[in-house]
Order: sequence, then C-alpha cells, then structure tokens
Amino acid sequence: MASLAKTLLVKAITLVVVLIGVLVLLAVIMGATGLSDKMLNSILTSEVQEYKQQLLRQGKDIAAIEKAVEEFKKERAAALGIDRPWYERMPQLIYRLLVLDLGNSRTLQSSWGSNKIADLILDRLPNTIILTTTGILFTALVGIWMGLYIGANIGSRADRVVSILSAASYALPLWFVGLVLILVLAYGPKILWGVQIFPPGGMVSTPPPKEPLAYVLDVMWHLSLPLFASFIVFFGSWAYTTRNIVFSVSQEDFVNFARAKGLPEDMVRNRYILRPSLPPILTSLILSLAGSISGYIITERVFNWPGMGSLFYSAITALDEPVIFALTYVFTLVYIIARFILEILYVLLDPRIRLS
Amino acid sequence: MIREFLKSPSGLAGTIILVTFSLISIFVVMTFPLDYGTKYWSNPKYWEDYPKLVPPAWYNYFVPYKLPQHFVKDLTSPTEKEENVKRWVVEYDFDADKFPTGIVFKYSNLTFYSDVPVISLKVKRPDGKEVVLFDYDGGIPPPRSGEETPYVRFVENPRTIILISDPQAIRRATVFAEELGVGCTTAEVRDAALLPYIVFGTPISDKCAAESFKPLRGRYIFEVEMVGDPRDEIGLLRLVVQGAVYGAMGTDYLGRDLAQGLLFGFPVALFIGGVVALLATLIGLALGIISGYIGGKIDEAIQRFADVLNNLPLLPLLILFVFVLGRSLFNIILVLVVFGWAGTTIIVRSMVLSIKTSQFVEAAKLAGASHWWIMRKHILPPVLPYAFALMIFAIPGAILSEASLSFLGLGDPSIPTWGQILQQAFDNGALQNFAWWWILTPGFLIVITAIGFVLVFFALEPIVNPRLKRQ
Repeated sequence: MASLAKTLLVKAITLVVVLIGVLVLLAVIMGATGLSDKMLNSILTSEVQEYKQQLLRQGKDIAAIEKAVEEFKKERAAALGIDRPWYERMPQLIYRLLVLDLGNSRTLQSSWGSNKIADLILDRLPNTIILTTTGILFTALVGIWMGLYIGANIGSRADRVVSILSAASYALPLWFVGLVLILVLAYGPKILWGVQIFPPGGMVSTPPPKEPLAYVLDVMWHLSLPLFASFIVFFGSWAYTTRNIVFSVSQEDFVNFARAKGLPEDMVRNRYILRPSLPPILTSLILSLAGSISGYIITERVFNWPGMGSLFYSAITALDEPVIFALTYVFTLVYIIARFILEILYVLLDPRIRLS
Repeated sequence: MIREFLKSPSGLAGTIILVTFSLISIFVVMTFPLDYGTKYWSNPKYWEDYPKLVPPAWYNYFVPYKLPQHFVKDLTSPTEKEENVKRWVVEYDFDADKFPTGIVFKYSNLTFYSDVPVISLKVKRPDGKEVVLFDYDGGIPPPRSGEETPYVRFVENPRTIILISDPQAIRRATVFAEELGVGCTTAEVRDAALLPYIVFGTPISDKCAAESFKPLRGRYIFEVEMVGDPRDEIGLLRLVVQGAVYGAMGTDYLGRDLAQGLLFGFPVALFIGGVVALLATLIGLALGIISGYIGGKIDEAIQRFADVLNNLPLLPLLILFVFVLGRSLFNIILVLVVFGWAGTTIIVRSMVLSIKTSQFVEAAKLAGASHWWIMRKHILPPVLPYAFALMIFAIPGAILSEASLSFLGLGDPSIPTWGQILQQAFDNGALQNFAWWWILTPGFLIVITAIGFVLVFFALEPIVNPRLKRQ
C-alpha cells in the first residue's frame, strides 16, 4: 500500500512538472519572439493616445501636455511592466496562475461586462459543456456500445460499415461537416422553399424565449446540427477503436484458455474480455472529456457558438495575453487532473498495478 | 507485396485517388506560374470581367431552366469605317430563361491625334428597340500640355466600364426602363443591379423589381462607335456579357474562377502534407529508436513529453504559434512538424522494445557492436516499413491541420489553398447566398485527399505489421 501511495505521488509530481513546463514554454515563446512586448506596446500606445486626446480637449497648452503625456507614459509602462524585460515579468504571471489567481483581461469582457478572466470562463464554459462535452459523451457512449458489439462479431456487415466510417472520421474535419449541414439543412430549405428547419447558428433565438421550458427546447434546437455533425465525425472512430481493443484482447491466450476450460460464453466475455478492455477505452473517454473543455475552436466559429473555443480565438486575435495564458493554463490543468484521475482508476481496475 | 497491396479494395481506391491527384499536381506545377497567388488570385482587378458568385456551367443540366453562359468577344479591328467614324459590332444571341449578371466593356491601346474621341455604346434589341448605354466616355485623360501626337492611352491597364455600376449607363437604363413602362429611380437600378434586366428583358409589370422583367430572347447587336480623327484607333476592344454560370467550378464573390484556385490547391495540399509528414516521421522515428533502445532517464523524458504532446488539445497551440510567428507557408510547416512527431515516437518505441530483446540484437552486442551500429543495422530496418505507413497516415492529419489554420484566416496569403477558399466563402456569405459550389468543392477536395491517404494506410498497415493482419 505504501508503494502504491508512492507511485501515485511520483505521478502527481510529474504531472505538476508538466503543468509548469507548459506554462514556462509558453512564456518563453511569447517573450523570446517579442510578442509579449508587442502586445504591451500596442496597449500602451493606445492608452497614451487616449490620455493625450483627453488633455487636448481640456485645451491646455502644448508644452504642458507633452510633459504630462510623457509622465503618464512612464507611469503606465511601469504599471504594465514593459520597462522590464520579459524574463523578469513572466515569472510573476506564472506564479499568479499557479495559485489560481487568473487575473484580469486587457480587452475581452464577459457578457455582463466583467474584465475578470474567471468571469470570462464562467460565462463561456457552460456553453462549451452543453455543446462539446455532451457531444463527445453521447457520441462516445453510442460508439463504445457499438464497438463492444462488433468486437464480438468481427467480419459482420456492421463491422465493415464501421471500418469505413472510421476511415471517414480520420478524413472529415468536424467544421467542414458543420458547414455542409448548415448549408444543406439550414440555409438550403430556407432559400429554396422558405422553411427554416434548422437554425443556421447561435445558441438561442433572438429574442430568447421567456419560459424556461421553451428556452431549453430552443437551445436544444440550436444544438441539433452541431451534435449531428460531431456524431457523424466521431462515431466511427469510437466504435472502431473499441472494436480493435476488444478484438485484440479476445485473441489473447488467457481468453482461449478460459474458453477451453469450458466457461460459459457470457462469463468469458464479461470477465475475460471486457474487463481488460476497459482501461484503454476509459483512457480515451476521460481524456476526450477533459480536452472538450477547450471547445471546438473552428466548429464554434462555424456555428457561432459562444464557447471556450471562440473565447480562445478572440483572445489570440485581440492579443489579450493574460487571457491566452490563463486559458492555456486552465486547459492544461484540466488535462493534468484527468490524467491523475486515470492513474487512480488504473489502480482500481487493473489488479496487476494494484498488486505489484 | 505490391500485388497484395493493390488487391485490397481500400489500397486500390486510395492509390487511384492519390495517383490522380499527383498527376493533377504535376500538371498544375508545369502550367501555372509560381507567383499565381499574388499575381492573379489575390488581384481583384484580374477578375473584373468574370461574373460574380455564379454556379458552374454544368449546373444547367440539373435545373429546369436555362442560365445564360458567359460571353466574351474580342475585336482587334473595326467592323465598319466611314471617314471619321469607326464602328465595332458584336452580336450576342440570348436564349436563356434567366438574365445575364452584367455587361462589361473594355478597350486598350487607344490612339488619338487631336481631340479626345467620342466613344459610345448602344444595343439593338430583337424587338427593334435601341438602348444607348453611354454616348461618350469621360474617362479618357485628355492630352497633357507638351505631349506629342499621337496620344496613346490605356496601354498597361485597359479602360474598363462595368455597366451595372457605371453612373451614366445606370441613368440611361433608368430612362429606357421608363420607356418600357417600369418606373425606377437610378438609385434603385444601381442597388438592385437591374441594368441587365432592363437591357435584356420585357416588362410584365410596372413595379421596379427584377421580377417585373421576363427575358427577351433573340439576337442583340452591340454597337461601339468612335467619332474623332480618321486616324484614331483602338488596339483591342472587348465586350463581355457576364453569364449566370461560369466554368467548371463557378466563381466566388470577386468573380474568381474557382476551378483555377482549386487546381492550384492540389500541389499545395500534397506538398504541405508530404513535407510535414516526412519531417515529423523522421523526428518521431529517431526519437522513438533512441527512447526505446537507450531506455532509462532519456526514455522517460522523451515518452513523458511525447505523451503530453499527443494528448493536449493541439489546435489552440497551433493557432497561437502561427499567429505569433506570422502567416507563411514555412511557419505553418514548422509548427505542424514541431507538434506532429509525438504519436510516431510512442509507436516506434514500443516496436523497438520488442526488437531490442531479440536474439540477433543480443548477439550483435556480444560481438561488440556499438549502439549506433545496432540501432542502424538491427533496429531501424524492421521498424522502417511501419514508419513509412505511419508517415502516410500523418499526411491527412497535416493536410487537415493546414486547412483548419487556413479556415481561421491563418493561411499563407500569397498561396491559394482549399482551406483559404473555404474561409473566404464562410466570411463572404457563401452560406447565406446558398453558394454550394463555393463550399462543397474545396471541402470535398480536402476530404477526398485525406481519405486517399487513409485508405492507403489501411491497406498498408496489415502488410507492414503482420501482427495486425485482419482475419
């Protein structure tokens, strides 16, 4: 038991090192390429410009204004930290993130006008969970269920169909499937026959329905196309991966031995095939769910869905450095936590690890 | 082995796709100029004659009505000459059920000797009516003081009059619509682009709208007249009646011939996919062999790193890096390689681990072979075929990633790619206008290329990795 705790502790430490590593890497990249300075400079310039305009409107004389502007510039540069090089500035930022102080954004705001990054995330995260997480969960569960069935019936017609679908899921970008669905099911019927079968994007109609039930139904109506798209794209790969895992386990000697012993087929399947198949399947499922927090950047854009993916994209295009850092940190943190949960699950599921 | 590969349906289908696409790429590389992107594709001036946002020509076979074809007529010499008047006559047979999308009049190399010549354009319709679309061209720069005769104009850039947005032509068309019994203001004619309807239609109601006109089929005679000095000349004159369908793949909002942009996308996609997959696989292979063979701390470090890279959501990082480094082909390839080697490393390492314990490696070690020699002679050869298959498998991933980056507007602006065409379609209302040809073709080309590689990989995998041979 002590060795088990030690193993878990080592894993936990490695994961924390990874977490810090990702942040340091990001900091070095943003700093060394001069992007961080560029971002701060553009903010400084616009602040100084605004201040100068303000003074000019008050109608003071030019020399005094110049002097005041110069002072203001120095003061703001110090406040933004641009008077110091990036390798002095960044450690502070990383430290604050590690103690979960996400800080304030520079330009982006939440829907209720808050500049706190925690608020920004609170604003967007539920939307992403509604879209991405449910999408992955739904698709994965159906796919795994199908894969378990096919894994026991290799070579059947269903098996061949799933093989083809899995090839498609490697080749179909989700956002393109989304575009096609919007074109064919939302705009097509509207332009050709004048009926709106599916909405072309967004999360709720404008204006949103007042009643709670109508609101939920409206969100579900908007959710249908993205969910359908993610089902088309990911179903095949879930089913096929599961099938391969189940199939390779069922070829192991111990399964043949169990059958040779004359154990009933149900028992062979549940104890000897499914149980060893579970850890790898769970790994993909949990890691996908953790990854879903970052949202589908492009797909959210295509469907005009206000989730985490689109937040990250706007942070990049708006050069909002604290938001980029905070989001990268949160995504990595979630991934790391998921990995740790997995390590614990392995221990619970796999007697080889538990007993070694 | 090749026979075995081609015998599997997926191998054959994949090979056919890839061979076809490679041949198209070779054709494009040989016929298109390398600076096609900057010189033509991203140059809206080059596409001004082309109809805007129209479906491909073969669309006509699938709809119950007939859309007019694109019509271009070039004349190098006048049809009639009398003293100081020259005439160019273009006949246009109109037999479609829908209207053309515009009329463009162009000329270049105008030479004149005294005053600026008066150039006018009129149309004789099949119902006998005549429309003067403009009776002088005010866009000819008059002789500068000190300039010697003959005065030559529009040598580099031709004079272009796009009639649906030309104020004089709009005014004249509005007057003609009045004659036909449809009362419009010039603003209405301009904003709803009614000019082709007025020129090529007969009214069925007096409301000022496109629906008030029905096409008047028959022969239209366009007459360009130049009055001036007898020696005055026009080098090349072009009349374009812009169709409602164009080419093999239609056009986009700038009138660009999508067939050309899509063709140019073939070699670009294969190049990006190929280079990224090759480099990433080489890195992955080297690190995998080192990690598996050397083991210990190095193994742990490489595998941890690869594991994280392999599981972190990569797209945000790809976007960030390309955004930081700048939108160029080189940067896109660099970023995709740097983030793309992890999967190969993990797989190669697991193969190396099982090879490492085999007797021929032990024997080589006992015989005193160096690590480098063993890695090269005993570990690499059995891993290589599978690494090749993995490389094939990495190509579609790279192509799709490039398309994703392009779709976010992070593609190399000097090279048209399928992803960029999709991005422009999405940002410029292809969905809202139901411009299916602008979205479906680039997207399906991306998908088919990716499928080609995936199919080849599926057929290759059981051959190079006998453990996976399917039943």
